[in-house]
Amino acid sequence: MSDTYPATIAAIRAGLAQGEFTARALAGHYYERIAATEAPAAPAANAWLTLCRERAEVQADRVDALARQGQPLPPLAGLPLAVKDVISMRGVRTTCGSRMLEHYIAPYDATVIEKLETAGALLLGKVNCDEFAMGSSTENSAFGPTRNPRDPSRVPGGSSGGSAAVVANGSALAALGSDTGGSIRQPAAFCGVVGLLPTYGRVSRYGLVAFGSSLDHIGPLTRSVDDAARLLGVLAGPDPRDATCADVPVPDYAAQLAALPAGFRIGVVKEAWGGGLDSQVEATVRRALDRLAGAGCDIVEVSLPHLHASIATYYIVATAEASANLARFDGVRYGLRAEAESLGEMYRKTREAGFGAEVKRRILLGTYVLSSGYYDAYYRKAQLARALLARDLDRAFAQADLLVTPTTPGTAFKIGERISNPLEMYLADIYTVPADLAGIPAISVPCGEAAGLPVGLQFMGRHFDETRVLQAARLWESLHTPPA
Amino acid sequence: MNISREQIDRIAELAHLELAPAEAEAMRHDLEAILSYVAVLQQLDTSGLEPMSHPGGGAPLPLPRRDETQPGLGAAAALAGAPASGGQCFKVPRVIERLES
Repeated sequence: MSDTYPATIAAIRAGLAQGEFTARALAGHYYERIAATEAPAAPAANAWLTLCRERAEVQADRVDALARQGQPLPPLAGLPLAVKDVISMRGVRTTCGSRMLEHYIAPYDATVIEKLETAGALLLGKVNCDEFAMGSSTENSAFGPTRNPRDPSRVPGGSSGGSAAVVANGSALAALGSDTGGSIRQPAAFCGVVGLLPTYGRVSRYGLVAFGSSLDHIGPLTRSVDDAARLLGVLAGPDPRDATCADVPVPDYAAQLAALPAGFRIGVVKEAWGGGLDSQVEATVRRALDRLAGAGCDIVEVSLPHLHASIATYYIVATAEASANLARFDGVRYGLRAEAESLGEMYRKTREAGFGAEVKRRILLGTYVLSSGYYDAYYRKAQLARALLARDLDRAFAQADLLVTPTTPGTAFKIGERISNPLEMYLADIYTVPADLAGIPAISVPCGEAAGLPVGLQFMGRHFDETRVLQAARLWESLHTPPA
Repeated sequence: MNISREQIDRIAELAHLELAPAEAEAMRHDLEAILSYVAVLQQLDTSGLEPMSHPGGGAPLPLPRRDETQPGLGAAAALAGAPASGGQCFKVPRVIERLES
């Protein structure tokens, strides 16, 4: 094979093992693809921020040496992968999409980076995102918006918009994203790829630049459910460097993908219909549910009576945590510094110059809800509402093995369309924030189109039940895209 | 929900942000809209619930690390990204005035 390469993790590994091509050549192919998608005439995707070709080629040579010697290849051997630019890679620029960290070189590897390289993945480079992962469109990046490969006048979603765009435009086979309120699943839905949110504590966050510590997750974006399962199998597991990372055994997700039991109960969240849901998105999702029923799934109706309060809950908890986490960007230890006469003035001028509007908005909101006199009315009430939403989900899971909703109320919107109305932007997270608030796993899988744009179907599962989430997603994928 | 300019200035001060006047006004407007929206929470009956600060799902967390020394980042690497450093220290504008003798 010279110019076409297999497009699944399993097939790449098999092709390398059989000597059909080299990882070095595969890496070269993907760097050509990156150059093509970033060329100004395309128009440029503006998805890649930093490339680390030398590092990827060293890794490729390591994989090729194993293949030449006939040794067993690691599980992700040769996988060309992109990393959202909120995850630290030693010696590589890690900007978080912010002027604050425009020239910051991370001094250590995140645990997920170590795991991926041990598993043989080729880390091609870092990709664009909303500043500090705050946003739903990638328009909040200091380095300009990323374009949706399906329609360059539209956003790819966010905050992991670069991750979704590069998987969709073929300049990476998979990507790492992070999800605090929907930032893996929403861009996956907007770009027509698979996005997996693992259970809170399933994947180490050591080396992830923190936004909302009780909400942040790392997870994969891929072209197929099988690839998502294989990546999760490598990423998951306890990490002594992350005290929130759970000590729960990691099953072989990929090996169990086809094992979905008959009569599987899927709960349709009745409150998800109506409201701001686009009628064509609803029709596409309802068709998908009919086909799942036809395939033997038991579709039942369940209720999340406080779903309408999830956005308000999320934007209080997340901004409160963000205001604390982002206090570290003060011009002292790393990143931007604005010169000033006094220390206090230096902090203020540095933060004024380094942060964009959405980050400042969230820091202000978070500071407000934590401030004396408002804490009980806002922050404590939001923590109580979070408990209420988690209880609703527990009750729904008593009636169903999985819950299903559209991933988003609409499809990818135009660049510039919502940027001046932050509240309208927030409301689009209605279906994705509950899983983050409750810490449960969820996946978005492509389920068709509405007016020519991709629509995502979301499955949510019980804590640490990624297996069933992936099984249902795989079942849907097999119905939706029959084997060639 | 009304937020005054004085309140915005006070929050900005707490958050170490120095907002330009036009920016402060825009933030005041946005925060009013967002805080009006989140008022929906006040109508929820949350009696009998405990505030949820962590979504762990009851999963066992790893045992604490053994109390053993391990190689650290090292001063040079830790200081490499600093805007200003000297010796083994981060340098900042002077915070203590020297007494004239």
